[in-house]
Amino acid sequence: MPGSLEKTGFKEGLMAPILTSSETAQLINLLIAFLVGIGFGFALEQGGFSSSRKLAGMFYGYDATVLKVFFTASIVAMIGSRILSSLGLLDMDLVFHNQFYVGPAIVGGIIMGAGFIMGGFCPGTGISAAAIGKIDAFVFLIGGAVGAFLFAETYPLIQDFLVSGNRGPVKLSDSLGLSDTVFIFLVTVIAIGMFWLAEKAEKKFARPDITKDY
Amino acid sequence: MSSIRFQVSAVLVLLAGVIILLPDARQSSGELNVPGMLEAMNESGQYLSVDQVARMVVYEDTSILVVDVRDQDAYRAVHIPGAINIPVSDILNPDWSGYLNDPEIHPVFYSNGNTLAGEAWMLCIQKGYSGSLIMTGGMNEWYRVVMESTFTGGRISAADNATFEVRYRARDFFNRMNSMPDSMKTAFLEVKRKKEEELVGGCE
Amino acid sequence: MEIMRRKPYMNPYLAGVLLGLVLLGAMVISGRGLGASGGIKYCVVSVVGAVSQEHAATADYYSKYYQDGKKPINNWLVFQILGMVVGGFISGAISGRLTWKIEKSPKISKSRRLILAFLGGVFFVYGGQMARGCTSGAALSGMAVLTTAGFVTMIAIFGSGFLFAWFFRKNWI
Repeated sequence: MPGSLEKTGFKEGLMAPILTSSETAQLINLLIAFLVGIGFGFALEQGGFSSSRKLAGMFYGYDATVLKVFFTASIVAMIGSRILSSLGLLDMDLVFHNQFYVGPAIVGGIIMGAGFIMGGFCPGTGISAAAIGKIDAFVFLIGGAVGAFLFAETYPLIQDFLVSGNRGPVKLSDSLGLSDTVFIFLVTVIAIGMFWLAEKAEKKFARPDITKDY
Repeated sequence: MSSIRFQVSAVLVLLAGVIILLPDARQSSGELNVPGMLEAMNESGQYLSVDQVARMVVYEDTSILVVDVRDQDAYRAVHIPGAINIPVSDILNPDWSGYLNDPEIHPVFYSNGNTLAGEAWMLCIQKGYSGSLIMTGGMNEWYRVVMESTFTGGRISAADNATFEVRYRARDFFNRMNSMPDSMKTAFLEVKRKKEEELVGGCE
Repeated sequence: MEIMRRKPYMNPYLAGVLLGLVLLGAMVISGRGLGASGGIKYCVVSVVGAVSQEHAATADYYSKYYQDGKKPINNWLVFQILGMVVGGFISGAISGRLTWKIEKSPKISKSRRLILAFLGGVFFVYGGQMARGCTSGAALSGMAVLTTAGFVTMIAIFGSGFLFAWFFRKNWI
């Protein structure tokens, strides 16, 4: 994507070199993607997401790691981005906000939920698991490639559905009539409440035979 | 494990509380609440009268783009000549951004009255498209002013003469366009969608 | 080479903070969140283009990735997932968790696990493309920017996961 680095939050004078050729910008962008990926894969594997039984534990109560990591991560990013934005260091208008397509988001989410419980992975965790040698993760990713291919081939049939119900990049805080910061605070408090419940559930539904192995 | 949980939770709640006190560095138009928006509308001249729109239509002024935000059936029945149809439910579709967010062209929304056009205008403001306008009174007012009004009075002033001339021409244009056979009408409805360069992201 | 003793997983809250900082970094530097299923998609599209240029040029879905001479493999997400392989490997290596293994419940057979893993992959990426993002791309990154799409997608994934869990329980517990 030539020129996409011009659209970064560093535009406000923090980033020193001004990249002249778009090819250089493209290459550096891809290098950054690689570095971000290293961090992403590292964090996922460190958190234990390279284990399908640990991930599946979320749905059977014995392991709430998914909830803890997932919500902590989003909240850190929410709060962090808001702080940077308030300090004028990050322009949120230049950060991608995903658009809300009502039907596809819900139906796609349901299909993903089925995939999660069957496969025990999501694509991100599958990749970090495959990286440490888990064969079931390899097979999951091959299935994933097939799924991508199937999607591409069936695209003409579902095309109209895919663009239906577009509400634009609406923010939930706006829909609820709350300011962003109040919303973030509420989400933080709710998440912490869920952490406490999760610890209780883990004790109640504990399966030491599964969790101690890994 | 539990002390880390406490520490992380405490830090996050603290920070989340602190940011409530930090001011927003930039005014984001997405956070305008409804009363503020109505004020903005009244102050900065978002409205065009039917006469103004009629004049721009008759002289084929390209600085505006008339947009009918009613549903397709209403548009197909009658529409203002030169208008394109973007139903308000579809207005945020990124395919239209090339038309609605063009810095050189002002979209002028109209509906049967003011409601749908006002809604479309607000949605565009929230999406960050500035420069859109509303034709006051919509189709109903167009009919009253352009199609059905006649000059009643003794002597006509030059200004009135000009106004009525525009109205008659607009009336004529309107009747001709809207009485075309359906097959020709659809040719006007085939609008190629321009693509605006969009922000990249997501998992697509 | 010495086999390292297996280290325990990082505290999940700390791992979450780490992941959150990585996500924040992506937002600040590249103006976007993370992703995974999209990376798989670009790889598949590149392969299809390599195998059959004609199909890639004519079919609606593929052709838009090849417009204006673009090469789908030159995509942020592809390089990100390559990095993930490296990052995951490093983490596994320093924690002594590198191992070839089919992880499964002892109550089911290896082939059953692999079949389910395959099907899980098919469903997940298909659904992910439909929802324009998976747990990382839509849910995680979406929630970080407060979009309704992020929250709805997350609720749909986890809600339906809980619903389907009962039917698949024999495979896990």
